[in-house]
Amino acid sequence: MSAPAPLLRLANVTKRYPGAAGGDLPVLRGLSLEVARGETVAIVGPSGCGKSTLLNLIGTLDLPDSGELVLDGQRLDTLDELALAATRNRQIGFIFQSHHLLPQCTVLENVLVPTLASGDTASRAQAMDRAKQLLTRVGLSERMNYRPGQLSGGERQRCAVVRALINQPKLLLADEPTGALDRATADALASLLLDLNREQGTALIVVTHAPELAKRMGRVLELRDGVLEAKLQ
Amino acid sequence: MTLGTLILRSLRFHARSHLGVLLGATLGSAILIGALLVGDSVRGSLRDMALARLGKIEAAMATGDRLFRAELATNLKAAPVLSLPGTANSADGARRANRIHVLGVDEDFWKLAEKAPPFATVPPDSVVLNQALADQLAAKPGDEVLLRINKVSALSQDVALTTRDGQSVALRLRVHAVVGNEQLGRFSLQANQVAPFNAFVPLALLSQRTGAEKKASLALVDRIHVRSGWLPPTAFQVAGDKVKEWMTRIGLREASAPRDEVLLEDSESGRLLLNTVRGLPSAFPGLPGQLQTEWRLADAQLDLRPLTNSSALELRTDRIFLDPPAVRAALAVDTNAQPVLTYLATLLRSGTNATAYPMVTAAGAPLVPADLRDDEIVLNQWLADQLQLKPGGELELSYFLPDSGARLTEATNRFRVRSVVPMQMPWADRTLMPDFPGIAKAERIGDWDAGFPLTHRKLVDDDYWKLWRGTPKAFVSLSAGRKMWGNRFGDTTAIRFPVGADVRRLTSPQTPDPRPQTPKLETPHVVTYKAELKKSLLAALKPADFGLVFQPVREQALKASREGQDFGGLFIGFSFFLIVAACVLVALLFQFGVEQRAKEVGTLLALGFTPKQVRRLLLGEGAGLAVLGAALGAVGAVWYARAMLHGLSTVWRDAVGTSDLRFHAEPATLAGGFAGAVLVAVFSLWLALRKQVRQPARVLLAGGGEEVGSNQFSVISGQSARGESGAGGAPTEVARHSNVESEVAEGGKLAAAKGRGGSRHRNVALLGGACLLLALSLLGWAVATGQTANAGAFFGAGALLLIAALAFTAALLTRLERSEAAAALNLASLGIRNTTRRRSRSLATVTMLACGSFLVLSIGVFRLDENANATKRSSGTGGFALLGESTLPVVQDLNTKAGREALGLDEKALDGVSVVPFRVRDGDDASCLNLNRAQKPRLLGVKMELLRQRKAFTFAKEWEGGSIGWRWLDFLELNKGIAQASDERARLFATGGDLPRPGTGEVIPAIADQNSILWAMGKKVGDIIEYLEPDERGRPVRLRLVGAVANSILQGNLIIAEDEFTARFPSEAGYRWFLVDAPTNRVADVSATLTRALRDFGLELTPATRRMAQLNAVQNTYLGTFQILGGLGLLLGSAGLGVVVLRNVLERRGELALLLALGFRAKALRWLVLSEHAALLLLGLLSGVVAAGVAVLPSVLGAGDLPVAALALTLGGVLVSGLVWTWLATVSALRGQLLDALRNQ
Repeated sequence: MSAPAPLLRLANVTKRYPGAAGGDLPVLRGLSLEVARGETVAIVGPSGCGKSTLLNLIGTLDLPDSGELVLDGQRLDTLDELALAATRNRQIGFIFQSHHLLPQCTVLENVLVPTLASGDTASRAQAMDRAKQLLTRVGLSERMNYRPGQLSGGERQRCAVVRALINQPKLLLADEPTGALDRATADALASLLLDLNREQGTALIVVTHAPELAKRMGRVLELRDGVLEAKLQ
Repeated sequence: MTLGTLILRSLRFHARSHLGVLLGATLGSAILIGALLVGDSVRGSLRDMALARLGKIEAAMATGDRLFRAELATNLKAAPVLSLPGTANSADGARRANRIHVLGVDEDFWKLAEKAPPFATVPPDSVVLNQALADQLAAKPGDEVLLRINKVSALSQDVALTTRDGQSVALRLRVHAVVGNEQLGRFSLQANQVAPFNAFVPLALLSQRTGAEKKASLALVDRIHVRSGWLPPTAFQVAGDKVKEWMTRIGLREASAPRDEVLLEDSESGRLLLNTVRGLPSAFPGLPGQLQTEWRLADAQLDLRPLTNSSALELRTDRIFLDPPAVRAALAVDTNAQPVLTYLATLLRSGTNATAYPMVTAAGAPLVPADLRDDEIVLNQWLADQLQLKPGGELELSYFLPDSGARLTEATNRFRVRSVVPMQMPWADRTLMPDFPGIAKAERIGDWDAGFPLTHRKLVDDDYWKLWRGTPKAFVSLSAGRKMWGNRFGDTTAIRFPVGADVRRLTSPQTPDPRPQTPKLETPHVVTYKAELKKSLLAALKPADFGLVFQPVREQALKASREGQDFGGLFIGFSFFLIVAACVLVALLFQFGVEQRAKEVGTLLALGFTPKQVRRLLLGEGAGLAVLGAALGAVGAVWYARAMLHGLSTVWRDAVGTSDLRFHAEPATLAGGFAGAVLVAVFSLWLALRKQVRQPARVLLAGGGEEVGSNQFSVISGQSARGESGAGGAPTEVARHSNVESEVAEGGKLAAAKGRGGSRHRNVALLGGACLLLALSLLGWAVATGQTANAGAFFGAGALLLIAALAFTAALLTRLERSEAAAALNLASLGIRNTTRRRSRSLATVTMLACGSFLVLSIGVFRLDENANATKRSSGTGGFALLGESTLPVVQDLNTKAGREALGLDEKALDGVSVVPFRVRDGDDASCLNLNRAQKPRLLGVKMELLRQRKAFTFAKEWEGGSIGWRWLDFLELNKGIAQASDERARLFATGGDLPRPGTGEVIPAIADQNSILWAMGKKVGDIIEYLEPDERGRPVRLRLVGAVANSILQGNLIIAEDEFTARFPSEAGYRWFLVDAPTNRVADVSATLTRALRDFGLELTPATRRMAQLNAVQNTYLGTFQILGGLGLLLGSAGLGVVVLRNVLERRGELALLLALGFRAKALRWLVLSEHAALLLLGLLSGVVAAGVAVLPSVLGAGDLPVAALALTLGGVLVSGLVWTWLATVSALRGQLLDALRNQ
């Protein structure tokens, strides 16, 4: 019996930027990575090593110069802009260091915003139920009609987590999700992410500087000189 | 949650930042919709005026000089009017009005008014004035006024034998009332926004005093009230009325005269419906039938009478010469009919024997032998005895050419005596002489009141006159007579119908009956025959042959107003800068607002929205603002339109010639304007959004992209983010990124940009140099070749200079950007160096200001100068000193001694003076002074040689590239191929293979002023104009525009050859339009002399330059309007500079905070920002002003009437406004805790 196919596979991915002297500055040098369904992975490394670039590539916010990027059996590096947007919308959830909630919308509306992108009106009623369910799950049932400006930092981030999960993605990407939070709130958020990971079966990749958060992930990888190396916990 | 909800949420949340966008959209919409409402208002006002001048009149039959029975009009249920030209004086003679319309009316006329006047009819010996005439004469009810009116003469003034004394009659009348517009005060059949001078007098009085008893020249048919009687209002009409009522209530629309058919008249289908209901499609199926039934021979000025002294009936006319259609019909009806032509000879001479002023008859047998040759003559016994002539003898017959008018051109023919006839019937028949006015009823020849002097008094044969009166002394063949005396009015003075035994022969074809019959006068036999003949004649004749045609004047008037000058489009053009400035402001503000929300956009992209979806979302938001702005703008538009109308009625009145413009707003215009304004605003927002949403999510999430150097402002898309290189190997991704790799990338791109910038810098500088060189060459050429008045050359040089200035600015910014002279760094230079940070934005600012100021200033170069080369033949004045218009026709030749003497003009006073006279067929003024579309332009007939010899005026364009100028008018020459016309071209002018005579061609060549052709008629050279009115014979008049004269005093008219004119409109006697050459030092004296001498003709002379100035004033006023509104646009545009400053500063808050942290004072920072943007402002204005300065040099050097003060004020305003906005934006952006920005970096 063969091993199940990984949810995410990066093979020999490279990414360069133009250098000051006119040459190219390589950021990722033939990086490879496989992430299984439901797995949790932390990516750590020093500033400027390319962590965010890697996360942007996985999240289809950027594309590699070379190499393969496969999500759930589909190559992402060959898709057009529309297909990439659809992939981001249906299969990937984003959690940013800054929550990036829309200030003009309520908590519930913010959570539902990703459902507007698909144009699938039929599923919106279900999405509403799911949004409420998830918000209740993360302790925001009393805050559904609040604006982001009326929430604490932790609440905003929890709202952002629910927004990331609303379309039931297979992969959740978190870029320094606890970077702007105090320790207690950061711990709570980490727990929440892991709980939801378990409950929803969503794979989780976290880019972080925080060792505490990284330690709680199933696997910790360090990005160094453009390639990933497993870090012993 | 829906996209709509999201849009609404965003609109509400960002309301404060959207306020500016909303204001901009409101302003832009107000200007756009307002401009369209100006169009509505002008159109509506013209329509009101058209309806006011027609009241309830639907159709009219206007016969000009030809009169018909007033009873005919009454029988057709039409109001009879006798319309005659005249002049009016106040009782004390202090005030005068020329070219007035004296209208003889009865009570039926007033029933045609929308609002009945407070009198049923004008009392005897009274006159009712319209407001314009009352104002001109300063007359009020109870005052006396003196009217001088042209008497009606059946015989044209152009006929040599017509009497020329007592042409006019004076009436001293008391003003009974002054009538307003709604009481038909403006009545006129000509489309013009300028109110005519109308004097309404009792029809009976006018017809009696002018010798036209019971006659009329106009029949006016009432309008059928469609809604009240024929059709129930449709749902559309009801809805339309409701909307209009609502608009009137809220002040968007002014209540106007009752116009129950306006809705229908506004649409093509509606008009068709109306016409069907009214029975008045273009051919009037109802009226012509009725007219054919009701008309009598008298309406064609024909008279069928039994002869008292012979056995015949005679058809004759008080116009002396029977119209050719009448002759044709009469000869067709009865083949026994005999045409007769009797005319006056001035002298019959045989050797030393002579007799003066005998009548000579041209006819067939039995008056002359059937085989009489054209050079043979038959004398009566009296003449034979008098001249001592026998058969075989010779005599000379002298006579005036019939249509030589007052010129009295004399010709002489030689004849051989064929025979001598006794003084008995049928030769001794005094009824052969037509009733020549002033001659027929005189007791002695010396008492004749004819149009010629009795120069052969000694040879007058009064004995014969006493005994035999006008009995002809000699007889010639009909063909000989017609060769001598045939003319444009006709070649037959009577047709005689011998009354045969078979009086009913007319009902069936008969062979000629040669037997002489002698029935008794008015016996039942004759009565029966006469009745049959009348019936047959009327059946054979067509009313249209005598000008009896109804015209759909209401339809024409509405068409003229509908197709008039489109002020909506004109004001959109004038307000172009304002609209563009508002749009730029909207775009800048919206883009600015969206940039502030870069993270929000990035979030949406990251969440899976496509850029298109995000753009739609933002555009939806913008559209919401645009809709709201347009709605508010629609209200503002009312005020903008009212302000523009006020301008048009006051300071810009020269362009419209009326202050009667009223505000109108049509629902369709408001809806269209609203939609247009929304579209324009949304388009501006769409342009602004394109760049924003194309940036990748990660860049936006990091706070939005910043242009790193100017050359790298490339568009980023998801695909391009792969790092693929463009064609030039340039990186395609630029972003300020919080991560190190992005910073590294920036450094690389800067380096690449610098390398690339070097070559661009050189290329741009080269372009600038080339443009500068070209501009200088052009200026050098203009000066060297004496073309200092060549506006095109200077405008071109100015435009090249502008491009050069902008190219040098671009190069300078690049150079500054590359400068690394740190040693020279100080705060001021730092400020100026900062302009290079956003080089494209800086260059756009400079370009906008430079182009705006250049256009606003340099457009003045197109101002027209009436004095430029005014004495040159090639100029717009044609080199003529004066232009004259008279109320009554002048038949005398003003260029001959005899003509001048006849008018009492001193030959000495007119030394060196010559006149080019034009015949006039009244019609619409087709000049730019008439806002209506000329439906029936005024026709002028001229002897083309008079203009050709003078080489007067310049042809801007001729048909098919010809270059024969005025010779185009020469119909015959053209067909002979002497001109450059090809046979094919000639064929187009005429039907058949024969050389056509004037009046027989299918298409008449016509020349007009270029502006008239283009704007007033909406045509071009080569086009055919189907004249709305047939000629006097009822034939259609088709004119081909064969030449366009460049901007000239000929504006307003269609000019055709005189012989063509007289052939088509024989009744239009004399000349009423004059171009006068006079020595430049005596123009005023000549004007005074002519005006005084021709006072009774109502002659008004205007210096040609003044007329040119009036015409030029339209274009000059439009240019002035454009400059003023363009200046306002620039002013608004300068507010946009404030937005640019705000954006620049907010983007650089961190950097400025750093300077603050380094110890700079806040005031110094403000100066830093201000100096940077003031430099852009000054650079832009300076570039525009210098370039425009060159462009307007000819105007400044020539007319010198450039509105320097107004333009300086505009530019000063722009400079001050720009500085104020810059300052405000600087202060606003630097307000608050600047150091926080540093911490956030």
